[in-house]
Amino acid sequence: VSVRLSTLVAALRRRAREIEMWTEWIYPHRSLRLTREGWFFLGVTMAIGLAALNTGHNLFYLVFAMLVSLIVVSGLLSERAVRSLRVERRLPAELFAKSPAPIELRIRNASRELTSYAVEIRDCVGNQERRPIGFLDRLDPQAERVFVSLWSFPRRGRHDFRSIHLVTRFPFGLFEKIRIVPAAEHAIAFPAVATAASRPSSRGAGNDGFRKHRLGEEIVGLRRKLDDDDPRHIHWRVTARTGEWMVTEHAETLDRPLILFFDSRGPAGDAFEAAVERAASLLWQAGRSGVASRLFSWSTSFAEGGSRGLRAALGFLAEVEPLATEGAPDDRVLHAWRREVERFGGGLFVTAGSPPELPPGTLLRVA
Amino acid sequence: MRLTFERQFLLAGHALAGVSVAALATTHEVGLPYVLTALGALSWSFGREWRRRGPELSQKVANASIVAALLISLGPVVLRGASPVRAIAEFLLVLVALKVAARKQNRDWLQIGVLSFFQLLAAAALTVEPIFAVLFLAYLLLAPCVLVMFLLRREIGVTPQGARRLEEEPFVEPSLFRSIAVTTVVLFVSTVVIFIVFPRFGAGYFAAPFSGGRVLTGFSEEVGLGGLAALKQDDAVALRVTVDRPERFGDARWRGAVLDHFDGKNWRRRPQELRPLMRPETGLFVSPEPALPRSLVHEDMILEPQESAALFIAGRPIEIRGRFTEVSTDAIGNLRVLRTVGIRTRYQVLASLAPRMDPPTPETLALPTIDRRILELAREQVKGVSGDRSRAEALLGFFHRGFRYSLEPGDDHGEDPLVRFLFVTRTGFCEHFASAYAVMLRAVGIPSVVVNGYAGGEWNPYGNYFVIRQSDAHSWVEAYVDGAWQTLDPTPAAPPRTTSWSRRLADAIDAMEMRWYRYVINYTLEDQAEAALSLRDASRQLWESLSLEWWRSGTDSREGGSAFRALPWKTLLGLLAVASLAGWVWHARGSEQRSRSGELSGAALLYLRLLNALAARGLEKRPAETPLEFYRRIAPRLDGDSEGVARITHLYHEARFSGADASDVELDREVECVLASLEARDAAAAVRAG
Repeated sequence: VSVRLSTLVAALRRRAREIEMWTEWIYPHRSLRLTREGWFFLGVTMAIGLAALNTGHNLFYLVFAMLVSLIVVSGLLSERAVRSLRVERRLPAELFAKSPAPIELRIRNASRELTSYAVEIRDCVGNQERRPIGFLDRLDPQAERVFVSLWSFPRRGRHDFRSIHLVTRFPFGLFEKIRIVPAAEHAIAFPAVATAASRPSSRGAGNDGFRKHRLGEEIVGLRRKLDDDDPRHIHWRVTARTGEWMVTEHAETLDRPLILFFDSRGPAGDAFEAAVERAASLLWQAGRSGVASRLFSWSTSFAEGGSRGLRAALGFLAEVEPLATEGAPDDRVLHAWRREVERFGGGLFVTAGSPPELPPGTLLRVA
Repeated sequence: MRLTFERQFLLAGHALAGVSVAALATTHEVGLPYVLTALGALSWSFGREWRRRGPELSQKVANASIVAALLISLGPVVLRGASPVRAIAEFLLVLVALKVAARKQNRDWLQIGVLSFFQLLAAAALTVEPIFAVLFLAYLLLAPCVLVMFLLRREIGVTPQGARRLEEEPFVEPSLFRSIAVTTVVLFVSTVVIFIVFPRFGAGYFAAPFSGGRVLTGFSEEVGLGGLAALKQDDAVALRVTVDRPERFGDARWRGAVLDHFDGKNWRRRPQELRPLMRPETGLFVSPEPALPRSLVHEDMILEPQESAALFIAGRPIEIRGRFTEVSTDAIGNLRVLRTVGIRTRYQVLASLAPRMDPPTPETLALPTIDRRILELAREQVKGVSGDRSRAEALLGFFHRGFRYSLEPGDDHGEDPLVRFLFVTRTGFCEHFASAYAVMLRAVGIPSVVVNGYAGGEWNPYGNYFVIRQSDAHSWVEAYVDGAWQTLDPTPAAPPRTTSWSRRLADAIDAMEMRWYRYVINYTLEDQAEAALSLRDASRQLWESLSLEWWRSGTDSREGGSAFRALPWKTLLGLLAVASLAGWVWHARGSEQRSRSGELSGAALLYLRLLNALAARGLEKRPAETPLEFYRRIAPRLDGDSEGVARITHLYHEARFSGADASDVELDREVECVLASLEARDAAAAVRAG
């Protein structure tokens, strides 16, 4: 019995976290709020009801009945506005903490004959305040409307999207009817990646730890400039000739993969988060530049290349938690990283704490 | 011509305001200048906004006028104690006029809507006339339209783009108006239902004397000869009576005032002892006198507003039910009722049509100093006739010879009116006949009284009730003959009324009015209880008849009757109806759940996209196939996309059955990749082909 009770209590607690309005306890798919005009309407209705009772005048009863019926009809028509709407939330393939991410909401009117009017769409992520995403003034039968909203995720890791609310004051503006569309899902926000300006311009490589030339070794081509390209890569002559910003592409970035070890030891805190972000930035920039990358950490390693491998590595960094142990938990992965560093002639060890003995030039300590 | 949204709103908004102004106007309680001001302002505003040009009242002038109107309207209430409801109603009319005359923002339209509602409410307080029902229905029809359009205008018109759309397009689809029309029907039905079922348990502590209709001249307790002449020429309805056995009311007379004292010119009721009827419960008055059950009839009356407090009843009242403080009776059968005069009154009576048996009082035999010729004439008419009944009939027969009924008998020229009637003109109206007959009866020793009331009336076939008009006012005689008070009428019978189409139309309209008064204005807790009991009885009867039918069908089929005929059709139809209802509810719930499940699973939607794309290329999933079976079947035909489809199938399985909805993003990407690949292959194939 106690087990069942505790299960029930847990379920109730979970539900209490999920719901936003007390009315959801009663009926989880709809909610109703009185507008200012609605309060006035309700007050007048009650006053007329009292007047009817006290005077026994049947025409007051008749007017009272009309007002109560308007409430009933309001419920019917407001249901008509939101009932046939189908909502689909589409998340981008990659979400990064501290960067606005576009979230797409597709609203389709599934009805074959009824047009929906005056519906506001509200969405909510995690503990953030629910906010209006768009307003459907009118959505014809079978029509679809897409709203894109920008959401920022303050921290890396898992973020829960909550239900979508379709809110309407249709038809009389007395009540705000909310259709709660159960679209709870979650997304993994990758750690924040640094912008081009703060991108590390060097990578440790080789035994002697030399610093490469800032422009790389060999120019292999030109391309249009992207927003986060380093302005130092701009090829001014071609830019002047073509009238478009053009940057150089360098061969050296393709040669050596980024062999990165992320040291997940240490206390949680800003330094740890900064280390995670630095590691993620390195991986992300390497990926953007077409450089292969491999991530190692104490418990795992990601050797798969391409975007899938990059996502897997970023996903790991998104959810990595600091290890409590001070010493090296498992040297096998570290040895594997060392072998790779030796094989490719360079690598980076990103840490927020005290590193073990490392090949020279490979330490990138984030304070 | 396509009406833009703004113009639709303009029309509906002004119509709503117009209906509420009309509702107040039809109460006849507000001053005509106020009504004309409001209607004029509405017309001006409508014309100006339709043409989108023209002068408008400035806000300052409007505000100043509102203050002035408030003072003018409330002045009489404070200074002279005039009716505050009327003052408020007039002030509402001015407010509406000023609001519509000034420039209108959304807020002003809201205020106009609220004012129109309060006007309707004020009209409900000031009238009970059936015209209110018509205007109420119009309001019921317009209000949802205006409210919906107002909301759209406020919510969509806030942006310049939305405002432009409303200005230039009809915007709302006809389907919305269809929905509004349907919901108006729902509104009407639910209004009626709520009106019927909402319990009338109010004690009416502040019950207002709601007037309505013209106050009719009533019957006083002192009537001179010719006093009813004015009534006889008035065609207004005075009384509507619903009875349980109409066949017994062929010659019905609704007694009002019984007069026993005649002073030679006027009849009046002599002050005498009153016996209050017992009041076993509030609103019920019971006479202790016994009555034969077969003589009992039920009468349900709606009495139009009258100047007097008289109640009209056919027969002798046994029970009276109505909102009266006290009901008492006297020795000659007068009812003295304490009630508010000048208002429409409903009361129900259980009456006995058997003659009254009360012994006569000395006053019913008393004669004033009258011309001896009258006495001699009476005695002469009954000479040689024995027995009260025969003598009364002999005297009655006297009036059937050579007397003429006329509403214009001419002036008395100072003569004794009875002498002039009996010996000179032999022409008169009912009071002349009744007076002369009563005096002659008393002259031969038969107790008699003159009764004023209504006689005859018309049977309204549309509403199944008697309509009694002022013109049915009548005087007749009740004489104590053979131990009972007999009704005797010396007045020649009037020719029967012709039934023209206009009369039929009037009857139909009156039937509607009757229903309005009966079932709306005078709807009571007793009616509710009666309706509930009727419903219970009807359902019980239905159940019993269905059971009986079922049992009979079994008996018939066993006895070798026609199997088709033996089927319990009513029961089967009832079951079919219940099954249909249950099926509809199940279907509605199912579709709701289906739609919800569709919303829940993004993975399912994505997988469906893939299925649609594959189906377009001839790779259709069979209904009975699982996603994996489907993949295995089509994999050889997928060329390079096989791996992608396998991955999608796997992710779909994961999302659908393990609840790992995190894979939606990945699934989305995979589906996009495969779709792009399929399109690329299509394009390549097209190039090769072309």
